[in-house]
Amino acid sequence: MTASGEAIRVDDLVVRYGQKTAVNHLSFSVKKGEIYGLLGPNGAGKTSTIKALIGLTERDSGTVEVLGRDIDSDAVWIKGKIGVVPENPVLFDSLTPNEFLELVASLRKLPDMKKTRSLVTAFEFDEFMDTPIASLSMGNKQKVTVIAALMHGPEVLILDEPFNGLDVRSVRIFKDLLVRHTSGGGAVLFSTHIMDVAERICNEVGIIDQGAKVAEGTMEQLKASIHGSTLEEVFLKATNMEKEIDEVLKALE
Amino acid sequence: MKDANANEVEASGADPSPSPKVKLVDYVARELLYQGYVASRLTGMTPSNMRRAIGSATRSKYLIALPFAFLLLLIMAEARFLPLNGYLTYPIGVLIWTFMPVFISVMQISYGASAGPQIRDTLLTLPLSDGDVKTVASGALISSLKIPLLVSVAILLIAGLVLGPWLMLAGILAAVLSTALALIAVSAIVRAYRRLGTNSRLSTLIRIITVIPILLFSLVLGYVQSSKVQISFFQATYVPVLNLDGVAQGHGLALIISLVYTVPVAIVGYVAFRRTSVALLSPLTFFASRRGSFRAMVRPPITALVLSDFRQMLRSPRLVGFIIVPFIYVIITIYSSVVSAQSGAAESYPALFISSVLPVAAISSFLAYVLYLTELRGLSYFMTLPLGRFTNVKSKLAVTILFYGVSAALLGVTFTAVTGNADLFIPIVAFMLTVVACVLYTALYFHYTVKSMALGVLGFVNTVVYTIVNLIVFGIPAASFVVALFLYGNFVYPTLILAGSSLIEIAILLLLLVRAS
Repeated sequence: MTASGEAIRVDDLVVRYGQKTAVNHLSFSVKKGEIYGLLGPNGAGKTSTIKALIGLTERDSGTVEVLGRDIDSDAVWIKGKIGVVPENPVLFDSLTPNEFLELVASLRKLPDMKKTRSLVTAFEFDEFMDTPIASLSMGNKQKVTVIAALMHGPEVLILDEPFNGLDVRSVRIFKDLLVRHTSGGGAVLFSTHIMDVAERICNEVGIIDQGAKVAEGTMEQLKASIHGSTLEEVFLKATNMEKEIDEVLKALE
Repeated sequence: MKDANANEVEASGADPSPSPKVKLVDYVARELLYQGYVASRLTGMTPSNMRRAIGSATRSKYLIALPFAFLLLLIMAEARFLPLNGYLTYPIGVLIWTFMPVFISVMQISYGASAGPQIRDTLLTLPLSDGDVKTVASGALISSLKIPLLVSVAILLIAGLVLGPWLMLAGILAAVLSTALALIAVSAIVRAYRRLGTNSRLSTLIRIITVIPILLFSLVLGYVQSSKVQISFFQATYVPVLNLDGVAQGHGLALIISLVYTVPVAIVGYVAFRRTSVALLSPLTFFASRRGSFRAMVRPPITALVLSDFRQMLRSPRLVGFIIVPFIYVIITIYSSVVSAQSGAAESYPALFISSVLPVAAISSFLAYVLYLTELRGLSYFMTLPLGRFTNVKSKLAVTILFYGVSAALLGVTFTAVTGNADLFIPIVAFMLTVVACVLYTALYFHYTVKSMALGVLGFVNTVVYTIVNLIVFGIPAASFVVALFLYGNFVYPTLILAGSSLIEIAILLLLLVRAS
């Protein structure tokens, strides 16, 4: 059972693909009113963690609770309460955004499409609503998944590289929406490679490497404990990349 | 820019030798094969084992090619031992059964290769002339068809040893002609698509037009089979296509004349296809029919899923083919029934049912599989939505029942009109239960397959196991019905047996589905 105020609780999560361990006994929690950034180098296990969290990948062990409910026993209830932006916006290509959002709204049993309409306008997406998703650019596909994740006003947002391909204006709007979401008591778990964004909007950060957690805390805690002036420095030190980068650069001279 | 590159390459003497070009054709063909197979089955995960995926794709191609090759063998044997109206049915049959796989495969690649644009872009960045790029693209596209063509030609050659060289020659000429015609049809449609398909409505219209060549060929075959066409010696010698009948009968002059038109048509087919090949790998650019129109509305979940399935069916070449072919079959059957009735040769009820309704029910039993396969494309997102455990199954049931219902009802109404008796409707309705059992089995299969699908694709063995079990689920009630039909001679007891065995299957499968979810 999650402690009061916890939106997501992951305990001792293990995910393996054959011989490879993608997530190695990972534990963390995301509180209500908090943006939690899951950071890590490529192949660190961020996407596998998120997929396991929403039931897209089977867990080898560990438990996942969202809003106090277990993902195994209350999956449908949990999916009704969360909004997800997956890493790759692989959608139904032959549908248009109009049709896709209509399908998602219908499956989520929304009372109306007012909020969706506002989001479409906010992201300046009206002109693409009748274009097949297959023909959209990566950024516009990402906008479709962002709108679909926000349209039902979810309590918890789970976002995997959510700013991929988005233009500056959309990133700004989306970031502000995330901050507004958490100030209203919502929770956000998101993974990203962009340290600047994470540093600016995350209340807490977890850094993982080779599937295991190597550092966790607020910005101040991490900077103090790992002795870095920016999140980028903290990240490189925590994942032992700083020395490696120096050596690579020397070799290239 | 491209020409400048080509000139530079020529000036530097770095024009690639044929060997790298052949390798490049092979690589692009493998990539197309991989994408054509994997694209629609993506679960959102990148398939980690490409070699396994290509192996599966290759075996699947053989699996798909075998029924067509078997059909060719049947048509050839029929021409040899049961020539209905000369040998005309034979070349026409080879024409259509070669045309269909070639035409459908190329159309499928052109719509289905999700990273086609990347392949084209990569080719254009290499130091190749414009002509080389076209040669590589067309070579790769044709190479991706080699399995069905090779299997068909091998069957024609081997069977020719037993059934006679003239039949073999007529068959090969028909196959070459048909392949060229398919390539010409594809080129024409793709060109029309590029020029006119600038908005979603026109694109949909052109996609629908895609089925017209298939429809025309099918109706010609239906006409030749049902109306016992007789052709004169002059036609069997001098008239293109018809003189393949003459070749099959061993007329040397007919062979020479057929070579005179087959060779140029083959060349035209290749040249047209070569010109279009790069376009086949280019991005499909649509513009919205209306701008700034937000028309989405909330519907009940099952209605929304059914609507989404229908939308995807009408826009996916894979699904359009799956739906159009049975409908063409229904049209041909209706046409044949009316022609037969006019000539006073009405068939008996059991024969009518077994030859007409049973195949439609059998095809319908696989529709849910195709629907679920299409869904895999967006599965990773779909799985994040709060769907009740039977919501999706209900929508697949609704689409399948509609599909079977409309096809079978059309047949039923025609037979009733022709014979003046509505008895045939009884087993038509009962067969709906068998189709329902197959949908439940398919739902169960996908429930377990998706769980274990780390690779992101359905393996060959997995697909074969599904096909065999689905045939058993369909076959037990169907076989019981057919046997009973011959024993009793009326529809009452056979229909009771059919309904009873289907209901038992439904009960077992429902139980398994409830336990699984």
